[in-house]
Amino acid sequence: MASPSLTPPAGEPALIYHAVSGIERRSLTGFMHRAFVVVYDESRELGGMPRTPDEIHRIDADSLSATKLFSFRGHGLPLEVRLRDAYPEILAGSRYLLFTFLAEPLRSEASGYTWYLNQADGHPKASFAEVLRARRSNLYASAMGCKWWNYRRVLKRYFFLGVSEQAPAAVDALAAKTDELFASAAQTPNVARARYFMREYVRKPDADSEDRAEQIAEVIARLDPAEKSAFERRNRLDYWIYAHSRERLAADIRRLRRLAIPEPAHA
Amino acid sequence: MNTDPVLVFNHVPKCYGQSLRVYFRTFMATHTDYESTFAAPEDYRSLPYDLSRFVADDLLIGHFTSNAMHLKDRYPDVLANPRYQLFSFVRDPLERQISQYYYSFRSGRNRKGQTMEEFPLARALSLANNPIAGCFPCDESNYETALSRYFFLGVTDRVTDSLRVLIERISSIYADAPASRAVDRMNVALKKIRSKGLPHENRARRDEQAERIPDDVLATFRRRNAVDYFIYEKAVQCVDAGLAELPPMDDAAPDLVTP
Repeated sequence: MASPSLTPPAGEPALIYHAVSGIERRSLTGFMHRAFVVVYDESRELGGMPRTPDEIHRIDADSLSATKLFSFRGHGLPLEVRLRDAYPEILAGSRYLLFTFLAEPLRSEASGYTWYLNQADGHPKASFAEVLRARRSNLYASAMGCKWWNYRRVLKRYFFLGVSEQAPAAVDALAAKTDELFASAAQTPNVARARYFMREYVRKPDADSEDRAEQIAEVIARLDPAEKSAFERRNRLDYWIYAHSRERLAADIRRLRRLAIPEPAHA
Repeated sequence: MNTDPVLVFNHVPKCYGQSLRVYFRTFMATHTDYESTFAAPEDYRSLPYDLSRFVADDLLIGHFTSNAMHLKDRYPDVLANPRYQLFSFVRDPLERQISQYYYSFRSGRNRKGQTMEEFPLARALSLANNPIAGCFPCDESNYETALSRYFFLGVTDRVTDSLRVLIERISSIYADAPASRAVDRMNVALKKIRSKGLPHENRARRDEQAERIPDDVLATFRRRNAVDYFIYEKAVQCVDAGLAELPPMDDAAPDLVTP
């Protein structure tokens, strides 16, 4: 049985990054690491990626604070290991500000495939088309725990939905929206400190780039159009989730501009 | 009430702290608290962490060296509350000062933008006045009391031995702590990391000045920095005592990278 949390629940807002897509933009990782202390759900020192819920070494969610951001890996894990099952308190608690960044689903798959290609493990490599055909479909929906009939309601629990292809403007919007929420919370030392470092990041953001971007583009360009169409059909729900995220991001950016929040550096 | 032990690393500059920070980051949430990450000193002074939220897998790291920002001023509860477990690493005072000298030029933080010719190593050594003691802070009359609050003092010159003892001491602290989620995570991680090597960062390049320090400069340095040498000796004793309590090192365990 898991040990209890001994920490009194904090009133502070705390950011939770649900890393659903494998694509990492430097602007996002820079924002997280320069403005917050990032705690991960898994690491090599904790036995690597959990294969079953029993292998999760759960963090004390009560200890999360305005300065301590929790990053939960939502890709490459078995279906049984999901945020909503491992941390129901995070989904239920209004102080937890859940956000994610999604990439166009095929690009996300291509990112995983280039990582696999680059592993010098001596094994012959399958083609991208073979990998796509063997993959489970709708991985975003699985990680987030939604179906076609409820995905909009599930996505409402995310206070911010970013789009990797629109970073770093999306990161600026995330910073502005987070600051807006932090400004309305009690101004504890941690809230003040987090707001300070968010402002510092926005003032001098990291130059954006994407790991293996050229290789990803090349893998997609080589894919047979019929395979691409088949992938899009099989992953229709993920494409709906992605499209919804783009709409939400566009609405957030429009709203933040109307509120005359200082113009994002990259918009 | 939160009873988790919380580790606090008083990072004495140029004593391998950067490498240790990277090392701890692999299994703890490392809350770095350096003045250099703030745009202005007054920002740093006004924005400390709220440590009451910290749990067993949180680690506070900072230099805490400037006069207004010693631990006792920035985080008074750390010294008063036994749940905070302090440790530090020190280094042979002369080696530390030489390292500081080269680092100051490499990082552009040298005095008044002077060149090495304008501000030679011998001059820097002659000005040093117990900078290690200044980090705790203490003097000849109270250094033993000040250091008694630290459960471990490591020696950078013997990082392999020091890290072995440190991890064993940390393991004991967490083995004795009341069970909690963060304590459980730490206990799992500590079992895994015992055989992990240390990366080395922040190695400062040196020129021939460091090989030709005049004897009178060395003698003056040792006299003026006597408290630093006392502290260094205490740290050596701490590591030796810790090693004496440990079982012989497993032959299969990989050796750590020394600086």
